[in-house]
Amino acid sequence: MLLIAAGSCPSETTAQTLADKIAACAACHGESGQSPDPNVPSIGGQPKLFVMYQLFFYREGRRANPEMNTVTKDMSDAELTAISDYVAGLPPPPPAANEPIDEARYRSGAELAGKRICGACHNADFSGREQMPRLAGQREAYLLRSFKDYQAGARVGTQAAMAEAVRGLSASELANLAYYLARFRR
Amino acid sequence: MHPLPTKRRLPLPIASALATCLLAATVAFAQEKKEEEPFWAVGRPKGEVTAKMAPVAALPVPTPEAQLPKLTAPPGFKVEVYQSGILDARGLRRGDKGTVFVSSLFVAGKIYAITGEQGKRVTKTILSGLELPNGIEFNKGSLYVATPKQITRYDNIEDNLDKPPAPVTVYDKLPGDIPHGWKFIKFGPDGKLYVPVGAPCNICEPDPTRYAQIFRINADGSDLEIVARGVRNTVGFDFHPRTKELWFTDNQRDWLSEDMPLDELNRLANPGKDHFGFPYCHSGMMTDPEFGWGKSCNDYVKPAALLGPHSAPLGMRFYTGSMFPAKYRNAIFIARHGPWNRTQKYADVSVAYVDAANKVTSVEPFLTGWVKDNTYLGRPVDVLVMADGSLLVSDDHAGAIYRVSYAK
Repeated sequence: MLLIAAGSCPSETTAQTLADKIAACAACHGESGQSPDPNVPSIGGQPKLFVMYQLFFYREGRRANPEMNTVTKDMSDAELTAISDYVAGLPPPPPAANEPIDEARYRSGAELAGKRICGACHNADFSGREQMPRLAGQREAYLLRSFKDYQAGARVGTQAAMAEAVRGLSASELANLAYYLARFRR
Repeated sequence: MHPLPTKRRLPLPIASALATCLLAATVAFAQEKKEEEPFWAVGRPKGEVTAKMAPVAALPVPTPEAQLPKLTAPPGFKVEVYQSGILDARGLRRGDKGTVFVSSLFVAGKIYAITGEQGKRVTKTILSGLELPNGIEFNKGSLYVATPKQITRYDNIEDNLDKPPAPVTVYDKLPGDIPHGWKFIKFGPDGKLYVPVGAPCNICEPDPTRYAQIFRINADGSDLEIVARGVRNTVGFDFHPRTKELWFTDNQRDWLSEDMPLDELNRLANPGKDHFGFPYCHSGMMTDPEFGWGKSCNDYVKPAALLGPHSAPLGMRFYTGSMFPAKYRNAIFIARHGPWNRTQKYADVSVAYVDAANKVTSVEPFLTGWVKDNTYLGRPVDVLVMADGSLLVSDDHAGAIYRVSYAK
């Protein structure tokens, strides 16, 4: 039985074929991989290797998230690979927000991104590569939670690089960094 | 706070403000660099090409057998897949009863045991949830497992593969650093366990009583004695079958250039006395641009052979079998994992021929076909001479083990 925590995501993932499993992604992560939920990441345009790693970490219980741990529990290596291929082929999300940009916050976030050399791994346009995710246009609340998880050691990537990258940043600095990346425009 | 008009694109004043901020950030960054950069990035030249380089992670899913790289060995040799589907396959050891033990590193954190004949071979995960358990050794019925923190022992392991016994602590005073903290361990002909402690950095001058060394201890962890100093990061060594001397591979520092320094094969002629140069001299031929001033490479032991720029030589074994032609007897098979710190990738299992005077007469590629279009299809990590004289080779990238045999 699958237990999916109550929330905005439907829980029809007793999914069996690969097509069903792929369709189930859209239930939470949105059609075309653009998440309608501020707390759920957009997955469109993420590098294939990054998606493979996250599905692997969820399956092995090395990244904690009840929904994702359940969804990946019995996922075969072949399914994991095929789903990653599919996700990587979805279009990347556009920059967030039609609201007026808070110039000071945007600039503060940009400054932090420069200081912490985010672009060295995630590319100058934050499009991501290999095991390093796309950040541009990601859901702001999700980015912020990820930073806090890395800071607290609750999440570890393939290297310890992210813990180093966000070490010592204050809550408002992290919030500005998330603000900037979610709205990043070339 | 001055919100911008809704539909405006990023205006020029912001763009130039950004540029100014980034410039200021670069200056501030120079002071904070060592704290904020991951260890492998320290010393990286600024520029787009080097910014693209980071350690290559093993794939999180083993490559299906049909898609494994088609490897090539010299004429007369046959290469086959020994076992596939072994996530992050790293170190190889053979038990007295024929079990092949396989370690792993970042991705899997597991120890596997392979049993059974070709066609009926079974892989069991016997230990999991370990922290970077790269170092394994089999001795007198026990499996030794080394993490960056400690060395433990699982007794009578081959009779208990389904339910390994509780580990016995052998040694638990390792520094525990993650950078170059993962291990390769091996018992020497003197009955002592040889253990390296790498430099906890790309390039730095660490406490020589703790780091950049190889030590040996008794099987019970007692009587620690440093045998080699100035060793940056060895992940493979073996003892010459005739002279009993320790030979080891050593990974040199990153970021100096595409083609320097050259990784090393070393021979320890004077245990306890020899210093192999780190961090002052690399490859026996160049002083370090930061730590090498006032030093001379002539004050350190020269490498027995140079193994290529950033080639990442890992596991090595003297060939002691009788299956291969006579010229391979007592030659060294060396797994070159291949560079991450170089734009042009390469990898192979090489063979180093050693003459009676301990001179390496040549180093030649032996098992090739790991790289296609400058991308790794697989990466060799360790080599193991089997009882029948065949050679096993582990591949952490594709998650497989290959067998190389020879027929006249």
